[in-house]
Amino acid sequence: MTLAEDQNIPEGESLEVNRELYKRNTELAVRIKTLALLRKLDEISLSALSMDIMAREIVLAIAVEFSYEIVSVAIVDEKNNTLDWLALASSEPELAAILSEFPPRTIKDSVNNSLASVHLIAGTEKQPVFVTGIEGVFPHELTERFQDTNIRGAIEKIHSSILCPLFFGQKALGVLTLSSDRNLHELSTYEHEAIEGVVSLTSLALYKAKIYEDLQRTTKQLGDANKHLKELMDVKTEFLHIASHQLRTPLTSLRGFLEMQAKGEFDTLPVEERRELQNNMFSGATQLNSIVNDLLDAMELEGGNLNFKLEQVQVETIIEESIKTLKLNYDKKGLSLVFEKPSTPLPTVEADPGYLRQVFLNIIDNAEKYTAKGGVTVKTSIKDNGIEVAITDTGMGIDSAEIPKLFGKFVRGQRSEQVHTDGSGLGLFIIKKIVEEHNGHVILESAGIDKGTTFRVELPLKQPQES
Amino acid sequence: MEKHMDIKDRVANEIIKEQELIIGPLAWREAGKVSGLRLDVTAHLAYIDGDVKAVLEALVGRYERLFGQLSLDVCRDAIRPLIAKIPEDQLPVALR
Repeated sequence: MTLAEDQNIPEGESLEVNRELYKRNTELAVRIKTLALLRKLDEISLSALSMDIMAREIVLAIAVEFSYEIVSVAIVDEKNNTLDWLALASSEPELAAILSEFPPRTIKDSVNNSLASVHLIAGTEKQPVFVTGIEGVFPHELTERFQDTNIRGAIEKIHSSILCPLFFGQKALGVLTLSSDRNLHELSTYEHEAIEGVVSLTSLALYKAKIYEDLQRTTKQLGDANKHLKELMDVKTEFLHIASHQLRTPLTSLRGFLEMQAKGEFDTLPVEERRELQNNMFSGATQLNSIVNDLLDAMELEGGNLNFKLEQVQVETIIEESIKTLKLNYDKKGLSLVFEKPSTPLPTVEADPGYLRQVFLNIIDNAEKYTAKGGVTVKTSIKDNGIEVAITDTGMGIDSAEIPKLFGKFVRGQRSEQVHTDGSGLGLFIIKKIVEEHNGHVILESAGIDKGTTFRVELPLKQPQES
Repeated sequence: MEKHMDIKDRVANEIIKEQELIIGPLAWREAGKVSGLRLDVTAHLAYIDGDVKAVLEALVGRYERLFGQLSLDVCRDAIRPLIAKIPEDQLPVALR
């Protein structure tokens, strides 16, 4: 039964009443839908933490619930002065499929170029902007994709778009765009109110996500800074250890010797004891000299004030000289030291022979200190446009986690104390610096604890010409 | 609404359910008067048995007769996501 039949209202009037009631009910239905959407946006804002995920869910909800052809959210990147699109969605399945292909923040527009940005920069004007079709709404990169034949029809149907600036207080966050096949210029008051509600909630959600992102970034920066400080503390501790122990020990014995001399006690000692004391003094002075030399070398290398005297160097000759110098120490420990020379001489390298000698002396000397039995083998070979020297020992090996740290200053292997305590902790740092200054590389390899170690020193044949 | 439903039935159901949001059960009563449209009252679903275009035309016509142009706009908005899937010859001009 119709309203007219029910209440004896003339049919014409009843139709008018019907239509007015229908209009009001339509408004109510839109309001109910808006409320449902706002609740959904609120839920998204509360459940999603990542800005990209949040933006994707927000635009999808708006597009589907309000049947928009395209809904997008872009955010201002203050650092790069761009407007970055976080998410795009559509209620049209074909269009939605194309839009979902764009990963977040890959579509960008210079803040000074886009219509949305210009409006956003104006700042104080927070009212939405209405445009015909999608003109000036999206960056060129995106509108080009809209020429795709599968979606061109859907795009051509778009009648108008609204660009809604997203603000939190006076802070410009980004822009929300709504494109529809309806004439958005003629929206009713309640539809405007619905959009206002959506814009407010989207702004709030994005601001919250932005704060979360900033907080995460700051936390990471603090974590990194803390880690760096800890590393510096470790270096300081190691330096103090070296200064207090490695420098003080020989100094103390030297002082003792001089005191004995001053008191005339030294001359009363038997010859054998005097010789032993003199040997200890000499060893202590050598150790002090070595540590001071390492410190000076490290300072010089770090300052980059090196004055290499480059010449053509036969690496085999340098290795042979180094082996000759250190062979006695190996013999004393019963270790082998073998140089497997190549059958034909290697090409010469352009290098400073003095520094190169320091590198190989240091590595071969180290290998002896960290090897209890077995020995060390040195091999040379041609590699790419250079040569490689591999020094392999059968010593205590290194835990792979420790390797990257060993080339730092004042760093020594965790088990180095077990075998010798007179290192400055600068040896590997100096080796690496010298080789790198020659445009080469040092690689340290070990299969693990007690499985030996191999040092590979790679040197180019020629040094680049100075411009 | 059941996703595996035939597209013509989905269109009819979208229209009725959108109208239901505005006019309540009257939407179903009016739909019941359209010949060629079978209603499953328990499941709250409608099925087109006759000529698709004619049935849809009659359905939107009933709402339009009572509630005017605005009801047509509501019908059009309701089926917007489905419009590309339904053959053009089955879609009344009023819904395009």
